[in-house]
Amino acid sequence: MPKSEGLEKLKVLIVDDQSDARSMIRGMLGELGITQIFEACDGKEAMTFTDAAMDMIDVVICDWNMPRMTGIDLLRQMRSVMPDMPFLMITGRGDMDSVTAAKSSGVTAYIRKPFSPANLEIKLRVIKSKMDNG
Amino acid sequence: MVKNKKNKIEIETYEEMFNSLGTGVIYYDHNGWLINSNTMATSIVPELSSNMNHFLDFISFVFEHSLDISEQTDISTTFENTHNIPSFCEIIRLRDSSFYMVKAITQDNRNTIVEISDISQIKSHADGIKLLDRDNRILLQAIQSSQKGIFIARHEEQNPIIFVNQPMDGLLGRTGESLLGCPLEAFLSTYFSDEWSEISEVIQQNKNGRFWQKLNLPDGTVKWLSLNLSTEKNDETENMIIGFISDETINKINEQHILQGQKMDAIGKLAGGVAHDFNNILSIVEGYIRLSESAIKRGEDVSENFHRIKKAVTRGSGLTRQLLMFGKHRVSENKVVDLCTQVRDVESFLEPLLGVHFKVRIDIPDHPIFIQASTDAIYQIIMNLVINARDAMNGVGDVDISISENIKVDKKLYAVLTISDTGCGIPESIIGKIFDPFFTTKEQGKGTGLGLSMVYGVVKQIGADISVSSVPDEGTVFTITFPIVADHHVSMEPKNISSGADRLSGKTILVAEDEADLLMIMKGILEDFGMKVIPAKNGQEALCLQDEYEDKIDFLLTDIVMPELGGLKLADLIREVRPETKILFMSGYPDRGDTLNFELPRDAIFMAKPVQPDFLRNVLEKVSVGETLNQTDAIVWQS
Repeated sequence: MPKSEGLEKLKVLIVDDQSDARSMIRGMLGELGITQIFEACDGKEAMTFTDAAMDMIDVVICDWNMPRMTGIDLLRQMRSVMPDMPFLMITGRGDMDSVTAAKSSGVTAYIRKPFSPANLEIKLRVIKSKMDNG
Repeated sequence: MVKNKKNKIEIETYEEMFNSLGTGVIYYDHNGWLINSNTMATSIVPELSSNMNHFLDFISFVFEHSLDISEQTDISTTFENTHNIPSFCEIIRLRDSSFYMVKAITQDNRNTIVEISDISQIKSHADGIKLLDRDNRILLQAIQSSQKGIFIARHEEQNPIIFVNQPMDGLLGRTGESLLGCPLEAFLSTYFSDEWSEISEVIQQNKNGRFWQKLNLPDGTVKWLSLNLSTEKNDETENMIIGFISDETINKINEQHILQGQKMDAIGKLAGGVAHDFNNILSIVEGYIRLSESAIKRGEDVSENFHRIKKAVTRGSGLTRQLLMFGKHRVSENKVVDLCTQVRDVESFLEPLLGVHFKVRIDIPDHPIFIQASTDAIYQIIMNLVINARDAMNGVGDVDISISENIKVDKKLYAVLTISDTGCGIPESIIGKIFDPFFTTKEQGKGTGLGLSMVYGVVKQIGADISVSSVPDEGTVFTITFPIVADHHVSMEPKNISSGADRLSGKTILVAEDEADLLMIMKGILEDFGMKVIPAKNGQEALCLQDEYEDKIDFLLTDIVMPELGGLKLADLIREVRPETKILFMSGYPDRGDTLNFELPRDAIFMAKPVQPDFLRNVLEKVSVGETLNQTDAIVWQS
């Protein structure tokens, strides 16, 4: 991937059970020029989507707190089949335990709620930098 | 008898009336023979009685003198009250350019009465009307097909617009409601908003003026408009405000090209001059490196040489700064300096510059002499004059540099710097030209002809004077006179570098710089200040490093131009997540003209590369305690 590329070409999957949250993230991504955005309303749908079309996704942005299958559950499942998939976890909790848990389960980056478009942009740039540098 | 007498009187009366009519009347019988004509008729047409006895002769006379159709004026309305329908009605012109209307009325008894009336006056009046009308139409046509927008407003309260031509709307890119009736103020303050205050002044004072306005059109293009406003009151005619608006975009673009051309030309000259000086500096650096190499072989101490190299580099960066500032027509700032110290500083450069065959003698007082100048200026003056002296001497000779104080006729104290050589001298014929740019006596490729003209420019810029006297084959003396600054106390440069040593120690600074060597150097310098440095090879890395860094980051020092993620974007993002971090920019292009592509945030702190350690420390210290910076510390963006 050429170094000069911005974030525009990233293909992003948003996983969140709340449609408001999904559309807010979609809006923020749109402001960054990202157009290839997919949505899943829970972990199960996300797994189905990535299983079928892994190539269509560069980054997963996932809410931690979801009914039935949490973000951590999804991450663990996903890591078993796609160990390198960049995974940005959105956490509502800022406590150290949650952060440690997120880190140890192998998130690429995490972002605390509430976050601004700039926060999201920084995280995506950090992720993209990690992708570019292998 | 009585009846006859009465008849006779009546006939005489009629005859008198007939002859005193202002209209010529001729009477032809039904056979066409002339029966009678009155005095006026014969005075208008004297030929009447001699060769116009028959109506047909008269008709041919009329048609001979009849006007061409093109000359005809439609004045039929003037005669609308005529009851009888004329058998013909013609306008004729006779010898004295007077015009007559000839109207022939054939009556029921087939006799014909001809009326000839003088219409010269009516005709010329009617022609006037017609001419005015035709001119008006042409003028209006011209106004409407003009490329300029033209409006007329009445000179009264509110100045309502009473006329506006068709091209105006297109010119202003406007659609919809007409400008007619709109108060002039409302119109001009909308479209010429930048200059409105001046415009309204001109209107109030009944003056004329020309104004410019840059217009951003809805389609994103830019248009330059000029407005010529004429509001002068004239006692004779109705008072109007007349305005011409024209599209000057092309002219403006051309003008910018020309200005740019001139600027490039000037920059070219200056660059030539700076390159000239820069080469001198490089040769000094090279000279000391060579000296050091051999000194090291001999096991001698070379730290003094390094000190001199460092000084030369400082000069070099001063020069490039000057060049870059030139683009903005900004001159390096004058401050109060000690002329003697400045000259002593330069002294160490002269030896490697001149070589062993030239002897430099310096005679300067021990006490400081304060003048208004910049260190770069003194350096340029001395270096260029000494080089000039060297080239004037054929491989061997002496250069004398001296400073003295002198009271001139205005009773003010002046510092006099003289630089004299024992060279070939300057012939009288060319002594007047030596300060002209590109004037050189050196052979092709040896000199730019810029040295002395630069000296002249620099001398004038700092408010000093230069004169030259020369004797062929004996030598030349350049004398530069500086006004002395009386108040010495102002001049003591505060060098409080050590005072705030603790302000920076322990502070964290994130440095983003894509030039690896420079990043290393910056890291070293900043660590010397006792700072914790997070070095980042580029903007992207800086962003990642700060993301992982949990503690406070006090400063971000970032280059502006970096691949992928530039300094401005980086600063934007970091400002968002770390509002407490103080941000400083550095770049090789400190001039705003060259950084038009960068939208620097207001109050951004900007430093030119190469950033000198003391300078950087000073700026960081001031920023860390929230002191305001002035433009000599760094460029503070104020757009």
